[in-house]
This record gives sequence, C-alpha cells and structure tokens, in this order.
Amino acid sequence: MKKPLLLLIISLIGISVFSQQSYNISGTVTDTLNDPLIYATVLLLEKSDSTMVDFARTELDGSFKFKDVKPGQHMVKTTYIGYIPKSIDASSKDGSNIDLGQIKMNELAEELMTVVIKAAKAPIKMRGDTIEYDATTFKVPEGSTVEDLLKRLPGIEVESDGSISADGKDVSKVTVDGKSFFGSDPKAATKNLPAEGISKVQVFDTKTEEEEITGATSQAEDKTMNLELKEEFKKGGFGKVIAGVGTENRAELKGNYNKFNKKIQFSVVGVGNNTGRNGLSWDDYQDFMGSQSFNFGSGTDYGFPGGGGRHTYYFGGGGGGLESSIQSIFFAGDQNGGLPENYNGGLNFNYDDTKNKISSVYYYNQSGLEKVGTSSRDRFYNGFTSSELSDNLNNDLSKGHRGEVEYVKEIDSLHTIKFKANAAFITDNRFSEEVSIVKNDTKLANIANTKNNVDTKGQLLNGLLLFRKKFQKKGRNMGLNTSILYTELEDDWTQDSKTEYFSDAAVLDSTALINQVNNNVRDKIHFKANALYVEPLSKRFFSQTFYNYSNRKETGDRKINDLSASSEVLNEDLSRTYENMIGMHRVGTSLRYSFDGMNISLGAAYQTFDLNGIFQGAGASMVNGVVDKTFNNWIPNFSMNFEPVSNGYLSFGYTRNAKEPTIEDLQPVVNNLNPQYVIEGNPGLTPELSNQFNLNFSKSYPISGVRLSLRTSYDLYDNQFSTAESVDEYLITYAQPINVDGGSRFNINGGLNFPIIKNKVTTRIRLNATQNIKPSFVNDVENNTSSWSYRPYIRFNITPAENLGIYITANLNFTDTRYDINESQNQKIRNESYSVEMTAKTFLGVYLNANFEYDRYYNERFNIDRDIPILNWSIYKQVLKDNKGEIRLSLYDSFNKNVGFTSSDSYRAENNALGRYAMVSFTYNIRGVKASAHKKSWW
Amino acid sequence: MKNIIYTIIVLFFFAPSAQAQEMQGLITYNRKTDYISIMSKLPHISQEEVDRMSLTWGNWNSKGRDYELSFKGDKSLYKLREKETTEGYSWKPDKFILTRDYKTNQKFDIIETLGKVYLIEEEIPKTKWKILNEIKEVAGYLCMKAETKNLVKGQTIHAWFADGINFMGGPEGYGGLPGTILELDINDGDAIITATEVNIEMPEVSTALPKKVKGKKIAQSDLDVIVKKYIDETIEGKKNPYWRVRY
Repeated sequence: MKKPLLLLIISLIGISVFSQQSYNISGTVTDTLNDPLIYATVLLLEKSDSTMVDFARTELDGSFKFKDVKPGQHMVKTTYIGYIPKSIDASSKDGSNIDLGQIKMNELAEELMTVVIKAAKAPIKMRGDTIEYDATTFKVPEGSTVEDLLKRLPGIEVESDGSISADGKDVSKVTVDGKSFFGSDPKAATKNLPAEGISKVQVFDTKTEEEEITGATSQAEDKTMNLELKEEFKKGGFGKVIAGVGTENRAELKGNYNKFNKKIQFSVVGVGNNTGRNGLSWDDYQDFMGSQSFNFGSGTDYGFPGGGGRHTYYFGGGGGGLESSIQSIFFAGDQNGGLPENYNGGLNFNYDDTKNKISSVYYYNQSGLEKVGTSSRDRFYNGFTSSELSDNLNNDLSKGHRGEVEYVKEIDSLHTIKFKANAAFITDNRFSEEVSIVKNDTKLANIANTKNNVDTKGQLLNGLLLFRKKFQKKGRNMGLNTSILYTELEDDWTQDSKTEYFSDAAVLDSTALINQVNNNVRDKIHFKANALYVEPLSKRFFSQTFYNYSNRKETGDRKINDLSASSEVLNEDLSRTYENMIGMHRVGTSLRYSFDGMNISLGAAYQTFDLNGIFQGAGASMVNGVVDKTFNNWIPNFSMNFEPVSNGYLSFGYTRNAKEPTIEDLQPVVNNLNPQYVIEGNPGLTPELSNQFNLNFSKSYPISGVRLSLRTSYDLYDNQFSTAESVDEYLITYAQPINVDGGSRFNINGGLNFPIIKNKVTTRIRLNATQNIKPSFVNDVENNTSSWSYRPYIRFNITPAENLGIYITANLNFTDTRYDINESQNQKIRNESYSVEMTAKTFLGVYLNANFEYDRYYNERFNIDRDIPILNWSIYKQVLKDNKGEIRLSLYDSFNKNVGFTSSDSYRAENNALGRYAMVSFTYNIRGVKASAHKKSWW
Repeated sequence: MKNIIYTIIVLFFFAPSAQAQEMQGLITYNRKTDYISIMSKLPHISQEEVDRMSLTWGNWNSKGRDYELSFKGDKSLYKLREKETTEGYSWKPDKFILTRDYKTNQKFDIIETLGKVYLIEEEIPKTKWKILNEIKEVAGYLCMKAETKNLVKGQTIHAWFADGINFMGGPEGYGGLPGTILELDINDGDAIITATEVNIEMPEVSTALPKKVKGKKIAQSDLDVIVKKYIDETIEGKKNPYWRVRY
C-alpha cells in the first residue's frame, strides 16, 4: 500500500525535477511557396496571457532558435511585413526540445493591405474568427448610412436588395453594441443608422444558442455583424428644473435644458423669482454658452504685448446699461436689499465643424426692485460741514432683449475670418420719491421734496469684422478688424420738486419749485479700425507693430419744458443740442524677446486725440460753445516676465496711459440742470496721464500644497482730472473740472494658501492694502484727501470626513481717511464680515446645511455700530431613481434681521430687505442631483 | 499578386535586408493629452460635470507637443522639441530628457516634476509586455500591438511597435520590444504619442546628454513613491493630479 504512494511521490518529484530543465525551441519561417522569410520577427510568448518572454530574428535560411527556454506553456508568434502574424503552440510537455519545423505564413489580402491599412490607416484586429476594423477612419460622405459604409469595407459585399455577405458568407444578424437592432433583419440597422455614428464594425461567425453556452465552436454557415456606436452619439441632453414656494409670497422657478453632440449644441435656460438670488451659477453659464463660454484672446483693440502676452479671457461687452452683456446678467450678484422680482431666460445655439463655427444667442432679462430707506451724506469744507439726511423710495423696472450672432470661418490653416453682430433693446422705468434735509453745521439750510419718474428706451446695434492671417514664414502674423457701434437712448423724465431755503435764523427765505418734463435723446456712432503686424526677426526676437483708429460721434438733443397748471413752456436756459466728434489715432511698435519662459517687451506709441464739439442752447438765450482741440502724447511701454525658480513666476511692467477730457468738461458753458450743483466747463483741460507700474510674484509648492503670491501696482498721475468747488451760504455748489498734480494710487495684495492637515484643514490668507491720494480744491483751498484701506481675509476649509464640511471666513475692511483741510473730520471705518457654513450628511441620507453670516459696521465719527446677523438653514434629501430628485426645506434669515446697509467715508444708507421666510423646493435633474457635504474644489 | 505585394512593401516599408545593420535615426512624435477623458475617470467627477466639460471644451483643438527620439545603435535620447515661440509668449516647459542604452541596459533620466529636477541613473526596468493580435500602420510602418501596465499611475499602455525598425526603444521611456515603438496610447486615448515623422537615414544624430544639469539624484522607485503619494492625496482632495504630474 505504501509502495505505490512512494512511487507516485518519486515519480512526481521526478517529473518536477525533470520539468525544471530548460529547453530549446527552433523552427523555420517561410511563405506559402516554401521560400524562407529572412529577418522575420519571432516572438516567444507565455501561452496564458501572451506576455513576451523573448524575441529573435530569422537567419538567411529563415531559421530561428530560442535557447534555454524556462519550462512552461509557451507560444511562438511570427510576424513579417505583408503577412498575417501567426501563432503556434511551443510548449514542451516533458522538457524536451521543440522543433516547430516549417512555419508557413499567409500573405495579407491585398485589399486589407491597401484599403484598410494604407488608405484608411485603420488597425485590423484578428481575434479567432473575428476581423475588426475601426470604421471611424473610413471616409463616407455626410449623411451616408451604414450600408454606404459597408460597401467600402474590404471583404464585405452588399447586394442591391441590401443583403450583406462577409467573406462569401451571408450576414444573418446585425447587432448594435451587441444588442439586436429592430428584431433580426440585418437591413433595418444598416439602412437606417447614420455611418458617422459608428465607431467599429465587427464580423464573426454566428454562434448557436448551444455554442454560446458551451463555448464550443463549429464551422458556421453564416455570420453576425456587430456595429459599435461612437460615444458622442450616445449622448442625449442634460437639464434640470427647480421649483420652490415659500412664505411671505416668495417663489422661485428655474429650469435649463441642454442637448449636444460633437457639432451641435443647443441650450435653453429660464429663471423667475422674487427672492433676490438670481439663481444662476457659473455652471449654469457654462451649460448655457457651451463651447462659447470662454473667448480666449478675443480682444480687438490691438496694442503692446500685454504682460508678456499671456492669454486673458474676455466676457464680451461689459459696462452697464445698454452696452452690458448677457454675461453680466449671469454674474450679477445678489441685490443689496429691497424687494426684487426678476425674470430672465434665453436660447443658445452653437455649431462647430472645426472649419466653421457659428454661435447665436438670445436673452431676455426683466428685473424689478422696490426699495424704501434712508441715507445720509456729509461733506467737509474749510470751516464748516454740510450734512444731508434723506428718506427715499425707489421703484425700478427694467426689461431688455439681447441677441448675438458670431460666425468664424477658418478658410485654411493660415487664414481666419470672423463676423459678429449683436443687438439690444431695453426699456427702463425708474420712479423715486425723496425728502432731504440739508444742514450747514447744525443750522437748517434747506428742505427738498423731489419726485422723479424716468422712462428710458434704448437700442444698440454692433457689427465686427475680423481677419487674421498667418504667413508661410513662421511667426509672421497679421490681424485686421473693423467695427461699428450704434446706440440710441431716449429718456422721458418728469421732475416735480420743491426746495425751501432757510436763512441763518432758520426762517424760510425762499422756495424753489421745479415742475418739468425733460425729453433727452442721445445717439452715438462709434467706428473703430485696428491693425496688427508681427514680424519675427530671429527665433527669439519679434517686432510687433499696431495701429488703432477710433472715431466717435455723439449727438444729443435735450428739451426741457416747464409745466404749469395749463401750459408747457420750453425752458430755454436748460434745453440744448450738442454734436461731439472724438477722433483717436494711435500707432506703436515694440520689440519682443521670447524664449524658454523669458518674455521681454519694450516699445512706444504715439497717440493723437481730436476733439470737436458744438453746443447750442435753445431759443433767445442762444448760449453756445465750440470746442476744437488736439492732444498728442507719447506712450512708452515695458514688460517682462520669467520663471526664476521652478513654479515661481516674476513679472514687472511699466506703461503710460493718456485719457482725453470729455467734451462736456471742455465746453465753457454753465450747466445748471441740477440747481444744487452747478457745473461750468473748463476749456483749458489737458489729458490725464497716468504712469502705471506693476510687480508680481507667485510661487507654488505642489507637494506640500503651499501657494503664495504678491501683487503690487502703483499709478502716479500727471494732470489728473479733479474738481474745484465753491459752496455758497445756501450750500449750492459751483464746480469746475480742473487738472491737478500729485495724485497717486498704490495697491499691494499678498496671498498665502496652505494646508494645516492635508485634505482635512486648509487655509487661505489674503491681505490687501490700498492708498489713494487725490487733490481737489474747495473754496480755493487745496484739499488732499488721502485714504488707506486695509482688507485682511482668512478662510478655513474644514473637511474632516466625507459627510462633513465646515467653511469659516473672516473678511475685514479698515478705511482710514484723512482730510488735510479739516483734520477733525478724519475718520476710521471698520466693516467686518464673518461667515460659518456647515454641511453635514446625517442619517437616512438627509443633508443639513447651515449658513451664518455676521456683518458689523463701525464708524466712530458718526457713531455707527451696526451688526446684522443672518442665519439660513436648509435640509434636503435626494429622492427618485438615480437620485434624480431632491426635496429641500429652507428657512432664510431665521432672526429676521436682514437690511440693506452701506457705509463709506461720506455716505451711509439703510433700506428695507427681504426678511425671514421659509421655502420648500423640489429639484429634478436628468443627470441626477449630486449632493456632497464638501464644496466643489475647482478641478 | 505576390509581385504587387512586394512592390507595396518596397514602396512603403523599409527593405528588410538593410535591417541587420546598426541603425540611427530621428523620430518626431506628437503628444496629445485628453484632459476631459482623464478627469472623467476621477472619482469625484459626476456625469453632469463630464457632460459640462465636453460641452465647453470638447471642440478645443490642441496641437499637442512635439518630442524627438534620436537613436544610434543601442542608445537613444528622448526630449521635447525646442519650440519656436510663434504664439507671442514663451512658457518654460518642465525638463524631461530620457536616455537609454540597451546594450549596457542603463538609463539616465532628467525629470522635472512637482517643482524639482530629479536625476535617475540606473538599470532599465524590465517591462512586461503582452503581444496582441492587431496590426496597423503608423508613419508608413506596419506595427504590432503590445500592452503593459503602469502601476504607479494605474494606466494601461498600448504600444504600436514597428519590427521594421531595429531599435528596441520608444517614446516616454518605453521600450524592450522587437522594434521601435511608433505609437503609445495611454489608457485608451487619454494621452496619445504618435510618430509623425520617421527619418532613419539621418547622417548625424546625437544621443549625448546636455552638460551640467542640476538636480537631485534619486532612484526610480523612490520617485515613484513621491509621485504616487501626490496622485493619491490630490485625488483624495477632489482635484486632478495630472495638471502637475505628467500623465
């Protein structure tokens, strides 16, 4: 009994010892005509996973040999150009040498070689019975069906009735992504599916049900074809709807939907609420604009290579009112108080086939705001103080339609042309009522009751044409563009005011009544043309030359009628027409050095302003004025930036900026439209020049996560625009624009980010300091107002676990203002803002969010010490399949303390705001609502 | 029929008889990185965010970056091609120079990553290649497909190598196959490095290292630990590590 076991053990050891021996593998590679294939590649692979063990090349007689092959299951694979790679089992069962003998290789079918490999550059895959091509590379005309594509594939025949055969065998079944398509009729799929949606075509032998289960194979009679769909053709759209109702008659509704594929993007967004949150986030903006979200380097006013020519992105338009853009609606912050009611929405369509890009967008915006509040304003003169206290009520409603179309055509790799047009139409109604009391020190000076109603209509049309050319010579570039902007604004303004002036003894001295209808039409046509030419001087030196031309024609017609009980009489003193032409030429050149992270530019420009204005009073008064001025200025420019240490950037720049005076300021005419503040133009004004310096440094340490940055800028003014004011005993101010020297602005901004505990506690510290010095004249005394403002900021992100996130922020603002004519009025203002936000995922998948904000305003001089605590809560939970829904219950301003509050050195205002309310809201998101206790980190 | 195929071979491919000699040449590669695809795979990115990225940046055409592999006998040098600053601004690229000597089985790499320049001089690591049943043409050469894994970055690497070019190196430091790698596909298209120009009759190529490079000497395994730690920590912090680390 024991012997056979022993024998077995011995024989097992014997086998294992025996199989420890290495062996040799040899063979000869030939073609089908028995001619040796010389220098063919022979690979020795592990049989189990094709891991390469060794490789060899065949000798002149086609032979090869692997020596000392370690025992195991092996394969030999031979490859030769123009032949189908061949794999042969080369395992040695007993450790003896293996001679594979003659390995005959088959030629690649000519059509596979010429059509698939050479022409289509498609890989072919041989997997047992399957030959697979990558169909993406088979060019078929747009709109072709899969059938048209199949006709081009080698080895596949398509009969006139649509039936398909592969390698002579019928294709009985067509599947899409492995699934049957419209039953099993192969023609249904191939005739209906667009060819451009297919990424791969596979053809293999049809397996019977039995073979599928057992894995056994037999010689099949027919074939199955599988069509794999491209990823982007699987993409549908995404979108969401959020609806909420609350107490205090609050409600919000927001929805967006988005559909896109490789070429076409379509999106729609709509928002309506009376909660003051515009409800639009950065993500909503990106979802709406799609590939047009960012327009890199689309500035058209060519100039010096700014800051070394780093890419900056522009949000088209900018500014307020008529010339503001759609983006400004998206990024408008929350309103500071009042009771708002906002509606906006739009459509966007983008088409992009790499040679042609079309984008079009339409947006409607309506916003209404009711405000009730008080404000106070204080001014200091040599020897006395004026203070104004007002009660005001405002009710504003504005509506705007905006549309934009852009077409960019890449004519070829060297030429690009772009056309852009936009139009806007807005209406605006502003109603205000104000009672203000003005005191001269402590004595009552005047009391004014004013009611204003302004209706504004405006329209804008803008067209831009741009041409960019790259030359054959690398680095030689040219850009040309021209644009025309037309705007028209018409105000209808009814003013009804009564001002009572008091004498020293607080006795009513006189009363001024204004009851006017004001019709004011302003037109502007602005034409611009710009050219840029870049010439490479060597691999590292370039010259950049530019020319800018701008011509602006502004006309205005203001008719003021005094209203009495029965009649309307033209007020000839105040009515006027004007026509202004502002022309500008600028030509400049710079020399730029760019190499290995070092960029230096030195240049200069010459700039000319031409100002022509005609001003005409109405009727018999015939006040009129003519301005005809030309100003010339030199503008030097220098910039450099480089990377002195790894991940550290240093830049320095100097430039000069010349700003022309406005024609209104140059006209030697008295403007007494506001009887409290009478302005007279100054024909002696010259352009304001600012010398602007900046120095920046930043450095990051990727491993520790520390980042630091320091940015400084200093602007020194020559002939800065300022005002000379004189104030009479009734506190009526007479003002004249003047040029002053000695003004400056300095800013320093430091930042430091570092983790205290990696990924758990991180902190961000910022410190900003600004000094402003601006001289002005009051009653012939020079007053240098200098102010320092310091803004420290610190934030902690605390994310100890996946289900908890706490964010703490402190944002302080100290302002120190000094008046050298009246030091007793110097003031120190401190505004503090603290916030703590916490999100926690609690039991049953319920999220809890609490956001506490505490704002504090101090100003000792005016006895101000206000604090505004705001606490918002919400609890929410994802519902529905794939978390597509979310129910949220929120309580805003739990303490009911919300007010709109503003405090600066001379002005303070407080107004009503939406207080405590509760809201229940529901979100439905096609892609599923993603909830996280952590805030999104930026990528 | 056979003649036609031979004509094709002679016209398009390098004549096999010449392959036995010591070769030298210069291959230009273009590297394109698909950051949308890379970020789509990060655990903290939702499907909606993936859609948003492809919507905004999907049509953004990057020209990629050009690299050069010069080789002579068993030695090679792989580096970024010196770029002309035609865009009006010059960035300083991270240093990335890899040399291989397959005869002595030694490598010397200069790699700038995570704010430091590292020098790695050691044996060429053994790459475990699987040979797959696929062929295609790259830059006029018929190539076979091979697969390996990068365990540090968790990537599947597919290499298309031309057994018609008798040099066993390739781009990004990969090699060890019976022929030069002409295309490298990292994680199914996340990054693709393709040969755009193959010149194997260059009269003069240099595989010499630049003189005087300051850096910290490190073993590849130690650098792998640093990089792996950074990748893991950054992903844990819900950010994309591959802005800083070469994918």
